[in-house]
Amino acid sequence: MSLKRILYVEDEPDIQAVAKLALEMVGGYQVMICSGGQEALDKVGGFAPDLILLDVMMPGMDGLTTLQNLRTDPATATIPVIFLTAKVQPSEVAQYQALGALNVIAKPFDPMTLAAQVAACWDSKA
Amino acid sequence: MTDSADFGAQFAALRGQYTERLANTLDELVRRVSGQGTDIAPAILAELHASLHKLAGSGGTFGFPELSRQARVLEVTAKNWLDGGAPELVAWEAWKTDLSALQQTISMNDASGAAVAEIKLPASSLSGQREFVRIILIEGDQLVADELSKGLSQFGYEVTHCKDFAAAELLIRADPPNVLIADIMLSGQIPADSTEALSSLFERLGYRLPTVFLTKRMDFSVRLAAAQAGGGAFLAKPVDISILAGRIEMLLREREHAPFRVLIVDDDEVLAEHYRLTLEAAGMLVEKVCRPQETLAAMQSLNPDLLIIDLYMPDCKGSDLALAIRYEDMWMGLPIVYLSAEDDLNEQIKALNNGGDDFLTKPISDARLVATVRARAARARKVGDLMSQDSLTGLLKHSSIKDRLAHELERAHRQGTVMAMAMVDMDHFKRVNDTWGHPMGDQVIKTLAHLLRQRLRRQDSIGRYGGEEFAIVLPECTAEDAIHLLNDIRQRFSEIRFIHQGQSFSITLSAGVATSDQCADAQSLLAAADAALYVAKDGGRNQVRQFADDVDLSPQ
Repeated sequence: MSLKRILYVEDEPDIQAVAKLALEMVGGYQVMICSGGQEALDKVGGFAPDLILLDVMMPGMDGLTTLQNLRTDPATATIPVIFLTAKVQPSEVAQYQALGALNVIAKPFDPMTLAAQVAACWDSKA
Repeated sequence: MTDSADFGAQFAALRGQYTERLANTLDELVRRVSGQGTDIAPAILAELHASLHKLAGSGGTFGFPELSRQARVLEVTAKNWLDGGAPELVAWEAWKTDLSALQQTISMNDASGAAVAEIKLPASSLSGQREFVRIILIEGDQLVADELSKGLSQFGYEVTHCKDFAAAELLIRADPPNVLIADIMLSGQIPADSTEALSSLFERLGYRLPTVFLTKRMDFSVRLAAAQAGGGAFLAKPVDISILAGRIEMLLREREHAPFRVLIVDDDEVLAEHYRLTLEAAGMLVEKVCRPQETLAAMQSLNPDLLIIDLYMPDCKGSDLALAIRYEDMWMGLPIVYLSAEDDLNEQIKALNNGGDDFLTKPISDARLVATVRARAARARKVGDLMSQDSLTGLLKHSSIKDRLAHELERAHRQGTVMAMAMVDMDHFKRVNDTWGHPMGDQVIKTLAHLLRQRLRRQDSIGRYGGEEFAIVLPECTAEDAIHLLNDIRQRFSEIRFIHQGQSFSITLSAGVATSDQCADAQSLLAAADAALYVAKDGGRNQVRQFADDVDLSPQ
């Protein structure tokens, strides 16, 4: 399956905008933005993404809880999730992996290569 | 699919909005902490932490990597306070100052709108504060990693351990370290897998980091693989921490070397000018001399790292000039490269025997000229450093620091500026050796050497003057500034906890300061700083004193 639709969960408007721009214009993906974990859980069914990009530190429901909730719903349990976060200490990354995240991309990211990094994670899945 | 011009324009617009908001965000942060003391409400601290986390995660994306870096330092400190109770006053005030300084990081970036793709290596920070060296250690063995991390932290290095390259890449992208240390065989077997992982990592990043390889096997093939991957150092396991720290220092120094100074001696003015321009374009400082008899005078003023001599000149042969230069002890180690149309092998050999190091046959390509000069000069400088440095600390030796002092004092008098000289001595150092043993004593000395290097400016010179005594030459520095600086160092040093077999101890230092306006020559300036040091010791130690002109300098 090829990667087409990405749901990006991120609370910060500046980062939302630049990531959407980079993923759409450089990567050619279709991107939907959600500003928090709860909004993502509400909208994920309707959008049916191939992949979810998830920030960790967000007000309200954080990224880890969001992933746990996604995993408990059979409809969303198998959607691959990549964390896009500045929290990349080895212990934190181990935690993401234990929760079943596909991979992690570090912030701050380079807008020119963000799409390529996502594609590389996606390809490594196969 | 991608319209890159369009993407560029849209990104620039987003960056513009971000930058505009940034000023307000930073003002707001400063406003929130102003007037706050160490009893700041946890809720406010948590908000500050969240804002800093956002800045750390977004700055680099919009072309402000330094903002990301500084915000992360502040974020980590805030997190520690949130987790472990109220901050101490000194740390809190420093944190607030650094927070207000975030504004300066914005102007540190170019205006091109380039983002993280052009991230610069973390060379130096804005104010000189917080200039610690960060290391990422890639090591499969947890015990080895713990031991190395602990040992390196004693030297003031901040180490983060990763088990593999994937984890390291994330950390590097989030916040590039100054140095990488990697086990060369994470798989434990030949071929050395880390060398390949490192090469491809650097390719993806678009820049290289100074790297130390650690190895269990010293096979030639492994050594070669390390060199091919561009490893800056290669050390056998188990690792001697002080050797490792020394190599790290060396790698860091290589990064920030001053431009090479080159003198060209050629009677052909047009050609000499062409070489001069070529080498200057490569970032070197170059002077040319067209009359051989002016060579020595030019060398005195330039103090070159390398000399280029035309082999055939009307007044004298280049090889004779080389020999004449070598009569001077101070130029014995200077690399001399001949330039000539000469293709007679016998003549070349004769020229080399006369004290030349290399031979470049005209016409020579610009690239070859630059490469030869750079390689020769770099090597000569390295050897020169090793010869003038104290082997334990890497600081200047007794004789070299005195030379440096004489040179700087002469310059200060000539230019009418003031320079300072400081003598630093550890308090009751003998007790360290007696109680904890000489290896621990060596480590204490090395730690102070490291701290001095970190806190002083690049133009300052530091020498190991005696066993536990250090001499510091501070060009263009008033007594007040010198005292302030040394007090800061004194304070920091006293806070370092040394750990030996589960027990910890600390040690203080005393310092004496004198300035060039108090003394006519190097000898009396040294004696004045020493006298001030004596006053500091006499006054109860753990203090910095300034030389007062009425102190009797006559030998007792």
